[in-house]
Amino acid sequence: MKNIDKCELTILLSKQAHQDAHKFASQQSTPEKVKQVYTNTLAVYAVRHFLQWLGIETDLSAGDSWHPVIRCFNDMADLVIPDFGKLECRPVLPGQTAISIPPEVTEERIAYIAVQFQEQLNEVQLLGFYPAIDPQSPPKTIEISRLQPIETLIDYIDRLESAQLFLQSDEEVAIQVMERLADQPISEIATQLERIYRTYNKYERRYAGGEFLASYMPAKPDFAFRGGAPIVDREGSDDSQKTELQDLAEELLEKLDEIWGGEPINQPVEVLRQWLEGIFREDWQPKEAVLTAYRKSAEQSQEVSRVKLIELGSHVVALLVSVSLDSENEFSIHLRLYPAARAIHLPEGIQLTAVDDESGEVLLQTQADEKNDWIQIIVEGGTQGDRFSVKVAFGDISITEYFAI
Amino acid sequence: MDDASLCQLIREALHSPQKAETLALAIDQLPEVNRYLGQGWMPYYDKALPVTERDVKRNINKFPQNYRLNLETTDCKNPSDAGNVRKKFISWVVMILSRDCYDVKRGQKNRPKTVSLSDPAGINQGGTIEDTIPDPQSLNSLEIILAEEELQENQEQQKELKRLIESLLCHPNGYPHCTCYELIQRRLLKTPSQQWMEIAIELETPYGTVTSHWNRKCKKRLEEISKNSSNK
Repeated sequence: MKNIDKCELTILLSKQAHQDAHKFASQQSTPEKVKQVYTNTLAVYAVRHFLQWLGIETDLSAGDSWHPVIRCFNDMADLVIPDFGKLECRPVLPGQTAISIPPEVTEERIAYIAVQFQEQLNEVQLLGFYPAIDPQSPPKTIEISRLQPIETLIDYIDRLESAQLFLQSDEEVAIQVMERLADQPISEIATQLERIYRTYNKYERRYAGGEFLASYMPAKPDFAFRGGAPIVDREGSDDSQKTELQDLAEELLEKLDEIWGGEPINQPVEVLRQWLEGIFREDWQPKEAVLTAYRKSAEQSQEVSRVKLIELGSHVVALLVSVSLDSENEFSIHLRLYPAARAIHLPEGIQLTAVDDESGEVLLQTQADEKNDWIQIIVEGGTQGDRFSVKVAFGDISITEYFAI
Repeated sequence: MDDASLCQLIREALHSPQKAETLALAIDQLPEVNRYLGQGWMPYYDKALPVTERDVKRNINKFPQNYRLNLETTDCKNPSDAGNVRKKFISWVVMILSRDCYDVKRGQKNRPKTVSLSDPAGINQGGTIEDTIPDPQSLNSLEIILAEEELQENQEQQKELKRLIESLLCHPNGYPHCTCYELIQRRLLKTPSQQWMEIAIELETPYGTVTSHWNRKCKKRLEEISKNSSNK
């Protein structure tokens, strides 16, 4: 398991930061907006300080959060890294367990940094970061437990830099992509390609990459909207163009795979045999803590279970993973999906899929019908070193968890 | 090195330059440092390590402050305390080492002036250290920074601003629907605000044309009218 532990990094705030925060807040017209602008400004200052320490230049005044009119109407705390992209610095107030992602910050962000505030405003803590999201199906919030350690932000920035450099190179595939997406900022292309690389397995990347390229091609007049997301007339576009875009995406992502060294950055991989030794990552909780049905019953079997809450748009579900050693070398893994956050049934149509990470083959898949209380798949006969991923999907939104035995 | 020994060495390093040197040289022997450092940094590791060692030696007294640790009261014989100190020390070292590898990779000549993590954010904007310490301010007090009359005044100003926005009718050549007024309506005044991609499709204007018109023209015009309305 190659994940650095999450620690909160404390940043002190100067008088200058407070003076600017006060100045910006004083232009607002409601008490709530005053507080929002004040904390947004301090959050930007704190992240900027961390980037300065990393030796990364920023431009405060280029951000919309420094624009006198935009900050009055939008909830923004952006920080510009010139010629590279924007970070969104999201305040976390005492008692909050997630950062909010208002619609105005869902595009053109390379990452979201969570900045914890306490009652006293002399310091804040950087809790971690979340890499770019899919602007076509953005989450409304991101749980703190899903953040990457702030200490690894530089790894992510370096990764995006190398992608941007590649896209500006004279490699044939880079030239072709840049010609097709001439309208797009290079930072956005690199960021979204990294997202696709990070969130899809290597067999799905071709299709997701093709979709991404198609979505940014000039729209035809007979475009349509589905669920608020812009959909270029894909039904009407001919198959050869679709295949061509998929080929291009595949080639591009293979090149980036070579540059990035083969593994999605900081992708948390749960090593399940360690669960049997009592070693868990903090975002996997005891099942009794999350699922009421288990609160009264004692652990009956030799299996070890942990639960993780998963947010899919407005739905929250709980993924219960139970691992047991069946024989000397063979493990079985039960994967169960339950409703959470006061829901009684699972959302109809939600899917649970296990994929072999080596071959890309779908191992098992199930889907919730109307009024299902839970759904389950069982991976049997796993041996040490096997890697698989579990995808929970509802409509266009999906979350993938990675496991190794 | 076990958790208790590392914790004790860190404590001693806070008061002894010799122990700080021993601690710095021990970084290379901590298995987690290599394990947690991104694989992409490995080609730069050998050049970066001496810089990191120097930094750890010089700045060890800033480590507890960065992670809100009180090492004077930490009991290094307590496994939980010692484990916590180790976890945070490893994070700190890996963060510094990653930064130093990044520096080696891009060549130090491009490195902008840096700050100490322990300095207050915004300190390099001038003034002495004393000048940078803010007056005590609490989160709860933020909502009462402005008096009712001031909020009213700001509301009036925003009303005036909304009226002035109607005159912002400049648009990119060939796209008469894509006016600043239209973009302001969709981005700032509509709830929830629309995404650029959505606006581009609805206004039948290329994405890049919409965003560059916004960034180059509309934001500037908005700033101008905001200045004018506040000067009135």
